[in-house]
Order: sequence, then structure tokens, then C-alpha cells
Amino acid sequence: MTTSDFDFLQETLPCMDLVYNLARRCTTHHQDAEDLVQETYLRAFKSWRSHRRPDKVEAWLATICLNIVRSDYRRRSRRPAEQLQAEAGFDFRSRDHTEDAALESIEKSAVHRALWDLPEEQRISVVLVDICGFTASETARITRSPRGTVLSRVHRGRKALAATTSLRQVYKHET
Amino acid sequence: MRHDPSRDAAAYLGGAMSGRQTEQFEAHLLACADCWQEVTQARNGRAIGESLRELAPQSLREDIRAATQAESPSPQRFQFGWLTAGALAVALVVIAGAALIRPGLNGRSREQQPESIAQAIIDFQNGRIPAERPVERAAPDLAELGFTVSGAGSGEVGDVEVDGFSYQDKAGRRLQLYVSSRPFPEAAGAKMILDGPDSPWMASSQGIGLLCGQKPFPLLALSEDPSVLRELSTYLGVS
Repeated sequence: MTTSDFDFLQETLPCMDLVYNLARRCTTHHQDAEDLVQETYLRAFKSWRSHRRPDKVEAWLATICLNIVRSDYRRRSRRPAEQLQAEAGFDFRSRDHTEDAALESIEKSAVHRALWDLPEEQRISVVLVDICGFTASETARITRSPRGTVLSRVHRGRKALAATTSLRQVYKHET
Repeated sequence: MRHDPSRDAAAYLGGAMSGRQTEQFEAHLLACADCWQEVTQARNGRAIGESLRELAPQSLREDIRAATQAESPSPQRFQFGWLTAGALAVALVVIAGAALIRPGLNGRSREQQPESIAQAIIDFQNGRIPAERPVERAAPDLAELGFTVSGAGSGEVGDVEVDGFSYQDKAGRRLQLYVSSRPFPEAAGAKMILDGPDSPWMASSQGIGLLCGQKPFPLLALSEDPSVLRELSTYLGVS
């Protein structure tokens, strides 16, 4: 592995949670999301080896990920089945998948489904801003949309999520 | 400007208002039920979205590293033969040096690891550490090596009671460190680093490097990168 290759990993691996979260909300199954993350990193790596050095690595990776979604994955994407699998993230610190964790998984699946019910552009805007933590301006650049449009999509998406998902259900375990 | 609760709430929550506009809108919010409802609903929706954040699986990080390395054909290797020869020479020196390390005394095959060693390897592969109870010891500070703690838990690894600590550096390299009050068994294929019956040892099993020593405290460390273990050994003064 060359110094440049090592630099690539050093620059991009800290962004993996962000890319994974984006991929998770653009696919319906964990395995598809992991495949999408791998493909995103491989394309980014090829670009890196051809001396492309992005100003903002997070936005660069998110753009690549969404480009793949829009090309390869769109035709394969499926709506979640009626009975979604419990697919919440597994806490690697614990060996025991407890009952609480299982319940939390089911609740997250309900939110995941509500998110999937949003129109695609709304969903992607909500994911980029609220889950990945991009600003409206960054999201506008990534999605090549006007900033005002992003703000509007995010707002409508949030309202739809609030309307279709019970907050009480989401936060039951915190009280 | 025309009163539009949806647009104004979107601009307010999206940070698109100036300081003065924000102050004016916040004052307006107290008197406008429509705007208040817009902001409240959107805040609830934002909280719901944020609740979906997840950590990427540890195994995915390793897959990316492996895939990236597999994609590194290093064509220069063939264009600059002397570089290849140099690298081979260095590799031979390293191998020769490794051969000087005294082999372990036990004759087990590499696959037949003691229970606690086998469990530690499985846990490392799955990115897990024991989590039966809180740790009794503080995590060794490895910041100087570039590693920060990503998890901690106490329990049994095989038949050895341990405090376990997961570390990770910025490049995504993982290090798992088990600290115990009693010694760990010797791994199959262990190579002793020093002379003597209590010598620290290093081993490799299923692509994972292991380091074990009795001082400064009984420890077992695992990493996919042997250089990490060597740095750890030097840093902690493992003997």
C-alpha cells in the first residue's frame, strides 16, 4: 500500500458512519447498504488514485454514493416489505442482543419505513441534513438543488415524519 | 414579505435567517399559532430522523481496507525492478529476524488455540468485547500511538476474567486489549520475544496478530496490523 493509498484510508475511513447512514437510507437491507458503501469507497479510491483530492471528503463521498444510487441501485431498489426485518444497528460493545434492543430495532424499522414513504428527493434531503449532519448549503451542492428547495424539502419531510411516526414510540426507552 | 408559516419555519430551522430575522421570527412565533405548529412539527420530525443514526459495522471497515488493498496493483513495482528487489531484500531480512525469535514450547497446531485465545480472536473478528459488567481498571491511554478508546467492558474471555478495551486510530486500524489479574495461556504457534519461561510472546492466527505479556500487567492484545502490536509492546514496556 502506497503513502497515497494510506492517506486515502486516513482521510475517508472516519467518514464511514456518515456514508453508511446515507447508504442505509437509500437501500432497504443491511447487506445492500454495505455493498453500496464498499462500491462508494472503491469508486472514491479509483478517483483518488487518479489524483483527485476533494476539498470536503464527506460531501465528496456522499455525492459518489448518491450517484451510484441514482444509476445502479435505482433499478434494484425495492420498497420495504410489509413485514420489515428488525434492522437497527447492533451495538458492538455488547454481546447480548437483549429484549430492549430487539424492541428498539422494531421501532427503528417503523421510522425507517416512514422515511421510505417520503418522496425520494425529500427523503434524501432529510437523510443528508438530519442523519448525516450536512448543512442546507452542503446538501444543496450535493443534490445540485437550490438551497431554498432543500430547505423546503427537509421541512416537508420532517413534518411528514412527525405526522406518521409516534414520538412516544421512538422515545419510549428514554423515559 | 408575505406571511408563509411553512417557508418561514423552514428558513428558521435551516439557519437561513440573519440574526435580526431570527429575533423577529422568534418574537412572531409567540403570537402565531400556525408558525408555532410548523416549527414544533418540524423539530419533532428532525428528532425522529436523528434517531435513525447508526454506527457502521466494524467488519465493514475491515472489508473496505481489504478491498482498497486489493485494488492497489502498484504498477510501479514492475516498472522499477530495483524497487522490487529492495523490498524483497527488506522482507528477507525481516523474515530472517523473525526466525531468530525462539519458537514457543507448545506443539499445538495453529488451529487448536486455547479457549480464551480462540474466544478473543472470534470477538476481535466480530468487533466485540465482553460486556457482562463495567470495567474495574482504567483503559490504558494509547493516545500517543494515535489510538482512542471506542469501547470497554468486563467479563470472561474463555476462562480468563478480563477488562476489555477496544481502540481505533484515525486510519480505522483496530486494537483490542485485554487486561487481567492472571496470565493468559500461550497461543499455538507463539513466538517468544525474550528468553525465560515468562517471556512475552507474539503469534498470528487467522490473519490476526496477538501479543501477550505479564508485565507491566498480564495483557493480551490483538490487531490485524502486527506493527501496531510492536508499537504497543514498546510503548507499554511489555516484558
